[in-house]
This record gives sequence, C-alpha cells and structure tokens, in this order.
Amino acid sequence: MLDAHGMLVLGEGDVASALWQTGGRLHPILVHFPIALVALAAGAEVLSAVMGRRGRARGAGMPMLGPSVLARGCLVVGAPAAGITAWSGWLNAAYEHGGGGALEMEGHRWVGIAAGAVALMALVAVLAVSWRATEVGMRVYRALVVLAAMLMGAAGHLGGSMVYGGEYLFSPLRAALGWERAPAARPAGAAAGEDAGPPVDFAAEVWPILEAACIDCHGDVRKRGQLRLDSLAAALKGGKSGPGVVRGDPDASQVIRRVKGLDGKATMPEDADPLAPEQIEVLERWVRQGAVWPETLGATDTGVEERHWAYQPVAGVREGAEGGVIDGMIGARLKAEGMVASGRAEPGVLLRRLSLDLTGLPPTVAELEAFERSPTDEAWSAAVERMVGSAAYAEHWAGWWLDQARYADSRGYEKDQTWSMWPYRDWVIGAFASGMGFDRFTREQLAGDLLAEATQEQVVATGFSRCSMINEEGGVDPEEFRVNTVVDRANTVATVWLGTTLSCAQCHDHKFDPFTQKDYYRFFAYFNGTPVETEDLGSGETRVVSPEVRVAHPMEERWKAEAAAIEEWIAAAGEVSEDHPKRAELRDLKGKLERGVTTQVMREMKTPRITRVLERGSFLSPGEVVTPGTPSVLPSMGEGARPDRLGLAAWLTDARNPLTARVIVNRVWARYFGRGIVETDDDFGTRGTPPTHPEVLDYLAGEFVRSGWDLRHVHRLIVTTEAYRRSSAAGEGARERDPENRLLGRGPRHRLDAEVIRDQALELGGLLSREVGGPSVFPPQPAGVWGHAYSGEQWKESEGSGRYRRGLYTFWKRSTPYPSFVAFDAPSRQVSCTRRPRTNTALQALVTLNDPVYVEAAAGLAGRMEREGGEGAAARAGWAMHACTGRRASGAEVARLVRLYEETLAGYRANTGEAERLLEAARVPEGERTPERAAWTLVANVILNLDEVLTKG
Amino acid sequence: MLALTRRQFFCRCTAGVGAAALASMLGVDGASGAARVAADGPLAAKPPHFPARAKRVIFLHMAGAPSQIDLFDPKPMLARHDGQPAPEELIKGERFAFIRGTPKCLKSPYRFEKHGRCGMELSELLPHTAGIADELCLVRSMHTDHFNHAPAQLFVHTGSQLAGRPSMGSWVTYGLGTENQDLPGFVVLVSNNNPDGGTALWSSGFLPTVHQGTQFRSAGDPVLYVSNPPGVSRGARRATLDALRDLNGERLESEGDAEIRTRMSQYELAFRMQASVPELMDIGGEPAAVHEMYGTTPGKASFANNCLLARRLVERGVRFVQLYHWGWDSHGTGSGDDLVTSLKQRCVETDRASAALVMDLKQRGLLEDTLVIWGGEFGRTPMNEARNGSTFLGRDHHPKCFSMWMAGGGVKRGTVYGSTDELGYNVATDPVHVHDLQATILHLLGMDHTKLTYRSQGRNFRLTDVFGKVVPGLLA
Repeated sequence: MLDAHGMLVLGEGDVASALWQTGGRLHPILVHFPIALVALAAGAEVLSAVMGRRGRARGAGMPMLGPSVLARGCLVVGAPAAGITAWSGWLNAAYEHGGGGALEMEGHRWVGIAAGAVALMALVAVLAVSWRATEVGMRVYRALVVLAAMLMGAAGHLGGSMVYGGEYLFSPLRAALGWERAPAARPAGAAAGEDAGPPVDFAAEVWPILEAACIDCHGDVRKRGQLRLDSLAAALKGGKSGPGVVRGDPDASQVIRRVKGLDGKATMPEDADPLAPEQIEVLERWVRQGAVWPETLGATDTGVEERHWAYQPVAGVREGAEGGVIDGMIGARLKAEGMVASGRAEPGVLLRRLSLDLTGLPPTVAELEAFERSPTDEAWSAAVERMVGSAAYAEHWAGWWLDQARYADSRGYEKDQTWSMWPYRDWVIGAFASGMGFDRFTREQLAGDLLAEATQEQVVATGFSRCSMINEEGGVDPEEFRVNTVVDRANTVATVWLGTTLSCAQCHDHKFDPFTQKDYYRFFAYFNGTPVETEDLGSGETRVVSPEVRVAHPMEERWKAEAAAIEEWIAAAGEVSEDHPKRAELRDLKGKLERGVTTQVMREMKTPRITRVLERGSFLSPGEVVTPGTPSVLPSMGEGARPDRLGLAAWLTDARNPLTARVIVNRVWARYFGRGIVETDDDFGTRGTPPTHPEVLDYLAGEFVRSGWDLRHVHRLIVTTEAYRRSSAAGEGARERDPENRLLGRGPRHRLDAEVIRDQALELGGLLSREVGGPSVFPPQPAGVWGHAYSGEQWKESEGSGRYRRGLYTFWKRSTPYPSFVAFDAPSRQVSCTRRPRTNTALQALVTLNDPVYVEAAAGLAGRMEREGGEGAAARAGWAMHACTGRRASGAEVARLVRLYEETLAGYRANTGEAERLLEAARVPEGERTPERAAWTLVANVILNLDEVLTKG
Repeated sequence: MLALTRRQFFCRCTAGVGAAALASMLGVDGASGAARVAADGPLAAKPPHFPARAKRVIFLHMAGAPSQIDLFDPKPMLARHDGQPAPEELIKGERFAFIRGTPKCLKSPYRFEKHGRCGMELSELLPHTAGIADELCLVRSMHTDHFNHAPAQLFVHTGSQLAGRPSMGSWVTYGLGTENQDLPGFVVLVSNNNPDGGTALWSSGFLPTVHQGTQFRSAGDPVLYVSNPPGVSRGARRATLDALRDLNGERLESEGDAEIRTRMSQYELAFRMQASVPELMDIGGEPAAVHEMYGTTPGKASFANNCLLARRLVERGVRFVQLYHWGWDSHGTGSGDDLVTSLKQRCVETDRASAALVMDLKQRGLLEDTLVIWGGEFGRTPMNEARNGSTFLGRDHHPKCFSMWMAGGGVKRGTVYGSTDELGYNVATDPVHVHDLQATILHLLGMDHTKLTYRSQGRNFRLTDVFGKVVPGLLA
C-alpha cells in the first residue's frame, strides 16, 4: 500500500480500492467527532483543575487527585476516533488530491496526524492516572489533553481553510468592520507552484479549454446557471451552485466538480463530449496552482452585472495642458512598473517621424536644417500646423480612410471590370483638406443622398457604401449578391465606426458579445433600401445597373482642351487618315466627354424593402420581419430619430455613443505608435484585447467629441506628447522588460506602409509629382501581371507625371493589386481593412532593390547628391544620409558608403557600357550617364534600402 | 554588439532545437539534400498535429471546370436518353447558370474503357492518365455549394465563396512552414490564362503575407523583381548588399530592434533567391527522356513545363505548389468552348504532363509523401446547354456532382470512391463536399482541420469554416 516515499500506492477500479476511497471521503464527516470529544475532554480537565485549585485555596479538605470522569469518557472514544480520522484523511488526500501537494494540505496533514498521536498519548495517560494518580502524572496528562485539543483545533482550521478558503471564517466580520483587504491570490497556490505539478500556462493550456467547452453557455451572452467563465472575477464569483473556481482548491471549485460529473449532476460540458482526463488534469492543476489568469485574456469586466468597458460611457474630460495629460497617464503606468522612459529623439529624426506620420513624406533638407537649428516647442508646433494644413496631409490620411472604406478602381469579382469611383476618393481627400468634422464626414458618407437638398458633393460622398464589390459574372443570382452587398455595407460600418464584430451575428446570436441575430438584421435593414445593382438579362448575361451620378469635374475641361488641340493639329496637317493614332485618341476623348465623369452613389428606393432575419445567414431562408434599429446593448437612438441611414449616422456620432470616438482615436493612435491602445482595433468586444491605457483612450475620445470631432485636434494632442517624441532606441533592460513597447517607454519604431515607402523614395529622388486628385494612374508594372480570360483590360502605363504620382492614385484593381504594394502588405480592398499586418520578407527586398521605380528614384537621389551634396564623396554621402534619415551619419557610416562608391566607380569606369545601361534604364538624360552617376546610383540604392529608411524610427 | 535579448534568445533556441529534433524524427529533410531546415522565422518547418502521410502538395487546378461526364464518370444510361428532355423531377425548381427552359440530355461523345489492374473506367480523352489508373484515387462524388467560377474557385481554395480568406497553401505553410528557406513555401504556376478568381485564390487573407502564394511566371522575371536592373552585375549587387549589411548592422547595435536583424537576413535570402530561382526555372538541363515524358519545351509557357517545375519545386522542399490551367469552361457556344474541339484540346495540353508528373514523382520516391490533386471547381450538366440555340455541344455549370483525382501522399491507390446517379445528375453514394476534401487534405498533412485556426476580427477562422469531415474512405 505504501511506496518507498511513504506515499500511498493506489489501486484503481477494483472494489477494494473503491472502499478505501470511500473511507477517505468519510474524513470530512468523521473529523467532527474527535474535535468535539477531545475539546470536551480538555475543557472538562481544565475545569476540574481550576475547581481543584479553588477548593485547595479555600482549604476545603483533601485535594482531589485523578482525572475528570467526563474527560476520561471523552478520551476513550475521541482519541481512537482521532487516529481513524487521520488515517482517513491520508486516504482522502491520496485519492482526491494526487497524494498531496499544496503547502496548506501538508500543514493540515501533519498537524492532524500530530493531533491524533497526542490524543492517543493523552488516552494512555488518562488510563495511567486513573489507575494510579500522581501529581506529576496528572500534570503530564493534563498538558497532553490540552495540547491534543489545540492541535485538533489547528488541524480542523487548516482543513476548513482548504474547503472554504482562508478568509472564510473572518471575512464577514472584517467586511463589517471595514478591514476587508483586496482579495489576493492565495499564497498557498502561488507558493506551492512546484509542489502542485508543472506550472500551467493559462493562455496555451487552460484558456483554449474554457473557450471551447465552457464559454458558449457560460459567457457574456448565455450565463447559464448565472455562471460566467470568461473572466477571473466572474469565475471566482460563480453562479447558482457556488464559486466556479476556488483558488488552490479544485474540490471546492464547481468547474472541476462539474467536469468530473460529481454531485450527481450532469457532466459538463452538457450536450458535448466530456473533457479528456488530461484536460481535467490541466484545469485541476491550474486551480491548485492558484488559478492564475493574465489580464490580457478573457472578458475584461470584473463582475457579472457590470457592462463590458467599451459599452460604458466615455469617462469625462480632464483638465490639463495639451500633451501633459496623456504623458501623466503614461508616466504613471511606467512608474508603477518601475520603468524609465527614453529621452527625446534627436531633432532631425523627430521631424522626419512627424512628417512621415502627418504627410506620408519625408521633410525637406531645408526643413530639417531649420528645425535642427532651433528645435523648440514653438518650432515643433509650427511644423505641426504647417503639415496638417498641407495637401500632403489630406492625401496621406485619406489613404488611411480608403483602406477602411475598401476603395478600389474595379468592381471586384471575376472580370473585375474598371469602374469610375475616383471622385469619391477625391471627396475624401477634400474632406481631410478642409478639416471637416468627423460627424459631418460620417453623415455625408453614410447618408449624403438623404440630406435635404443634397449637394452633388454630398451625394458623391455616399460612394463609401458603394465601394462594396459587385458580381456581374454570368448566371449569378442577383438577389444572392445583392444580399452579400448589403451584408458587406452593414459589416463595414459596424467594424469601421463601432469596432465590433457584429458580423458574427449574421448566422446566429453572437457567441461572446451581446449582439443577437435580430440586432444584426435590424442594423442590416438600414442598408437594405437600395435598388439591385445587377440584373439578369436572361441566357446568363448580367448587367450592372447600379446608380451613378455624373460629376462636373475639372477633368472635363482638360479633355476638352486636349480634344481641341488634336482637332487643331488635324486641321493644320491637312489630310490625316482615319486610322491615324491621333484620330483614335480624339475619338477616345470625345467618348469620355460624352459620358463625362461619373461615380457610384447610394440611392434609396421609393418603397422600402421589407427586411427579414435570414436564417443561418442564407438569402434563401428569410424569417422574422425586422425594422431598422441599433444594437440594444448600446444607448438607444432617442425619440424622433429617423429610421434610415441619416438617423444611423446621427446615432454613430452622438456624444453618448461609447464606441465611435474611442474606435476612431484608437485607430489614429495606431498609425502613430504602430499599435492601438486597443490592439484589436476592429474588435472592442469582450474577445478583443483590453486597452493598455484606458484613461488615455477615454481622454482622447472625450477631446475628439468636445472639439467638434476635429481629427486635427487629436493629431495635435498626440504629437505634442513626450511619449511620441521619445527616442526609439532602448537599452537591453527596457527592451527585455517591454519588447513590444506596450508601455510606451520609448518612441515608436515600425516599418512604413507600402505607399509611403514608394512616395518617400520618389520624393528623395526628386521625382514625386504633387498633383492632387483625378483619375487613377498606371505607373510601371511588369508585363503579364494583369491578364484575365474574360477581361480585355490592359495595364496601359502612364506617361509623364502619371509615373510619379503618390501611391494612393495608383490604379487599385482588386483581383490583382499593384504588386509592389502587395509585397508590403497593402490589402486587396475586397473588404474593409482597418489594420495592415507588417511583415518583413525577401520579396520586399527584391522590390526596393530592383523595381524600376526604385532604380529611377536611386538615380534621382544620385543626381541630387551630385548637385546638392557639396563637393567630395564624403560630403555627398553624408548629405544623402541626412536627407534620408534625418540624422547626421557617423564617420564610419560615411566611410563605408564612400568605400562602396569607390569600388563600384572603379567597375563602371572599367566598363562604361554598364553605367550607360543602368542609367538609361533609370531614365537619366543622356548627357548625365557618367560612371560617377552610376556609382552614386548604387550608393543611393543602398541608402533607400536601409532599414532605417524603410522604417519610421 | 547588442545581441538578442535573453528571452528572445531562449525562444529561438527552443524553436530551433525543436525544429531540428523534429526534422530528424519526422524525416522532414527527406525530400532532397538541397532542402534546409531553418531554425527560425515564420516559415521554419513546424511539427504537424500528428504524424503526416503527405509532406507536400501539388494541386493541379483545371480552371473553368472540366466535364466529369466526358472524362471520368461514364453514364451509359445517358446515351439511352440522349436528345430527350431532362426528367422533370431532376430539374424542377433548379437554377442554372446559362440554361433556360427544359434542357435535353447529352451523352458523351467519347468512349470509356477499363484501365489498370483496378479496372478504372476512364475516357479515351485521357490515354496517359489511364496509364496511371492504378496510382489514382478517383472521387466521383464531389459536390460544392457554388456554380460560378470565381466564387467556386475561391470556395475550393479558401473555403469561402467571398474573397479575402487565406488560401489552402497559405494555411498549410502557416501550419507546417516549409523545408527550403531559399524559396517561398507556397508557389503558384499559371498556364493558358489567369484563373477567374484572380490572385485572391492564392492570397494569404488575414494571415501574414509571408504565407501568400508567390507566382512564378513563365515570361519575364520568374519572380517579380528578382533580376538586377540592367547594368548591375551580380558582383555589384553583392558589393551593395555588403555595404547594406554593414550599415544595418551598426543600426542594430544602436537601436537594438530585432526587426533589423530579420531584415538583414531577408536581404541575404533575396540575394540567394536571385540565384536559386533562375536555376530552378531553367529546365533546359533536364535529360531528354524527362522532356519526352512530360512533353516539355524549355522556354515555352505551358502546363507541361509547369508540371515539370512543380516536380523541381517539391524536390527542393517547397511545401505547396499550386498550378492553374484555364479553359475548361465547355459551354458549347462555339468551337472555342465545346466538347468536341476545345475539351479535346485541353486534354492534349494536360493529360500527358499530369500523368508524367505522377510517374516521375514515383520514380524518384517522392510520390509516397507528395499528394497530387487534379480537378476543377465544379462539374458540368448531363444536359446540352445549347445557349441561344447553339449547335455546338456543351454543358452548363453543375455544382451537384463532379470528379477529382488524387495520387500519392497517403491516399488509396487504384480506387474509385463514390458514385453518381444513372444520369450523372446527383451524387448517389458517398458524397464528398469541398470542405470534406479540404479536411482530408489537411488530415493527410498531419493536421486537424478544426485546430488549424487563426484569430481575426474577434473570431477563430479556419479553412473549412465550421464544416468538413475527414473522409476515411480516401485514406490508404
């Protein structure tokens, strides 16, 4: 029965061991007898001793020698019972607790055994003194019986603590007296980690089990048995049957009892396969080790009744200087973690950071030098104002919005035909340029067509919803794809404005957040009133019939002028044959003028469509009729709200809406720091990541609303913080403590976005066109990237400035996006994208090394080095490093670049043909194709590929 | 020099030691001596959930949907009903892509014969495929939910009809990494036009783009921008990369950001790819017998060349090779898309090379753990489409049944699985849904399709959505 260590060796499954196990389970019942009896014996003996002394003091006859009869009787029964109880306790520990483990258990075990042993010794003593009482014998006996009672009390208390928790006995009293401490993790669990088996990794081992087996029914939505298991607080609090988890004590934890099928109740999870023994073991071990549950997982609310943080009102506005408030909040957290923040980055690096963030372009050398001369707060603010007032700012932040709006120049499916959508893109740029409030920005994009006396601009804005893909493939069911389109519109608004995963409720009630399927279709109903966008022409042909408007656009004037010029040319030339290219060009222009500039817009049908819940999300299974409405968990629309998109837009930007302002400022923040305060910027629900700095989020959200939804105000608040201006370099300690810089102890450092990388290279190479707006352009793209069986559309390379426009004007074909952007994680924009991943691949290296655009940019930068970089190789290399990184390169860095220059120059001098070929490919004018320029081009190519240049640091 | 932080160091060590141990245990390195197991990085070879039957996949997708009735699924009863209206009970309430009114049954103009020891019945259009009948596991009971090309192709490759989900190859490299760190883990080869679904078919969706399919092209740069600009020799490129490495190295020291180290290694990988990709794509060095077997002509863009490249890719440890060959959309609106001329032409282009690929893999001992899959996105109707009264023979889109074959990689050999009804309209026995096929493919690769998940927009996504069952009848 016992192994070499004195531990019980357990049999399994046979009747004998079952009997042993039952014996063990009698322990909690048996335990009461010896405690009561031995305590009584001790009490009786103490009493008799006191009485005896008093008797002697009064001098009343002979001192009474010998034990109390009551005590003897109690001991005769109680001491053997104590022994049996200790044995049964041992058995119980062996069967139910895996042989021992926690410190608390060990204490209970050994104190209990000692109590039993002393009680038996007291029994022997009492029998001895009953036979022949002596003074010494009586003293020994009485000491033993009192000791036995004390040990028994201690053992009983320790045992009780294991079952009910250490705080159990006095907690009501403490609470009543106001002494309540914050419930701390029980030291038993924590300290006993090593004894309680290998440490459990909650995220990797426990959470997946809870997620898969428990939270469906015991989550925020269903709360079966009033029990939630999606946060530690909720699990500790428990439900109808008691605490879900008792730290350190699997036996008292309902979660463990129920997955084991104890207590004669149904084994959990109900209606599913029971958990595997290994899984139960993990859960038990986790509870025994103190139920450690990191903050980052699970629902963040602390109680069953409390609402998830994101659905609560935004905390009030705080007083304080701009920037100061945020720094105070960030600083407090750093201090609490015992971390020291980095100092400010050097001025040139800072100005580059600011410029890339606000405009998507690097600062000019003149701007760098001016700020380096006088890097004051006033100069910083002036730079901020200059930048937010620039067209480049409007373009850069429009690009941020266009990812979310899934803006593209093609319809999306199969043939993926071109459509004219760019007037909407220009509307977005215009909105950022004019500093339009985000409330109006929302209203016009979601419901511009419904405004009284809507202007053409306001109707163009509704292109936001029309950016959904259209399927015009032969044979599609127009209704199926109409429904898909409406689904996309509803999901996009839910994600972009509300940061919710409402889309999960399309087929069934949301499993984790408080959204029902009905909520979904009520939201869907806002977008369900527009006409079909394709029609089946019979025999499988499909035609796009979506609403579009013709826009008066300056483009038309340009076309007119071009057409007039060609007509003039033809008239002057006299006879020009019908198939002359000029005539084709003229026909093309005339066609364009006839059609005009059009763009896709929203239009409501006269008679609204009836919306029904679609069972399992299928358009073939319409169910209950619903009316437009917003999710019930969020503040209601209020009396008299319009049941249409206009009402929805007003609700989204109502100051009481707890989500919109938080979601938008969080996404702005993410663009600066590389990660949102809420990392899952598209999921503010219970399954998203909790905010790292909730008070900063609420402060910014409050300021955003208070400022009249002014995004530029939010930019100013962020870029004037110290947190934003810190150096991104970090000592090993800081990097190890906070590898991802979640606490913002150092400045942001992350790779630039696809378009910014290209725009920056063109700008540094002196090639970037600053023309704003107009039809999308076709910069060089390798042949054969486009090509589709049913689409004859060709990538016709733009000439002139069209090759060097900013990335956001590059033609965005959804089925085949611009390949060099794809390499740098640009989305296809088939659906809304709120957060681009940031990868680091060899295909990216090939783009920036070899893509002709980057070769041209390098040659351009080489030309600038020769013209603007001063005399001598070192000066030129240093100048380029400064222009590209914002900092002054070290002597070693400059020397390394000069060495490369000299090496490659020698090669090109020996083979001028190679220099000629490189520079010709890079479109360098013939007279400038020197070996020096070629060598500088390679140096520039290296600089443009530096990690530091591809990165915002 | 500031090295990795301690924590990063230990993480990497564990991953590296784990990967190396695993490689030796599972024989990950078995494909070729050239393949290397990298110790870290997102594409490092990773252990499957359970021991795998297949270590790599070659998926030959016949875009446009080949006619199962004329290639794989003989229907003598259809010949008897040829020219008669399709039975009312079959087509009542049905929606077709192009057929309007009551269509007429159309027998196959091609003969079927039994082949191999297993006696698999195959069409005369596939003489070479017939020669490897004993290697094939032919599934005649495939069915899908979609009957338009782009959504159905997306459905086969991403498990969803809507664009934006990760492709199967992306899921596989996400789950298993790849065995050659000098090449992408998921390579796409296209012939005879791009498939209808476009690059969304090999998109990594919400997975990191390192898992995106990389298209190797037959014309121009085989991998975009892999060639140096004119006038930049390999030596000059090396010189620039040396300077870049030195300067980035100094930055790593002062900034201490591990991303810099990754970028440095990616530039070195790019340099190696500049050599390895052209070498890989150059099939000129293959012996004449190989060219004869595949029907390849070096320098020509063809399905045959792509099949040979597929073998060269898996030989070098690439995890997932996806071929597309477009042009199977046999509606019969003209000779360009009919059963008599166009379908025959597609078979000429693909039959020999497909069979050669299987035989070649077998001869090299690679078939055992390479899964080859051949098929389209849906099937075709047993009725003549006769769009607008066309007199060319053709069939409309048909999602209710179609055929696919698999070979190698742990599937049953010389087997026909499932059947369709007498007219070839519905699946009769052992249906295999597209999600079931995906679950089975992942199973063969040693992965549980319900456990290969990625969290996006608040929920865990997987290739098979919330469906799919492994089909035991396909497993050897």
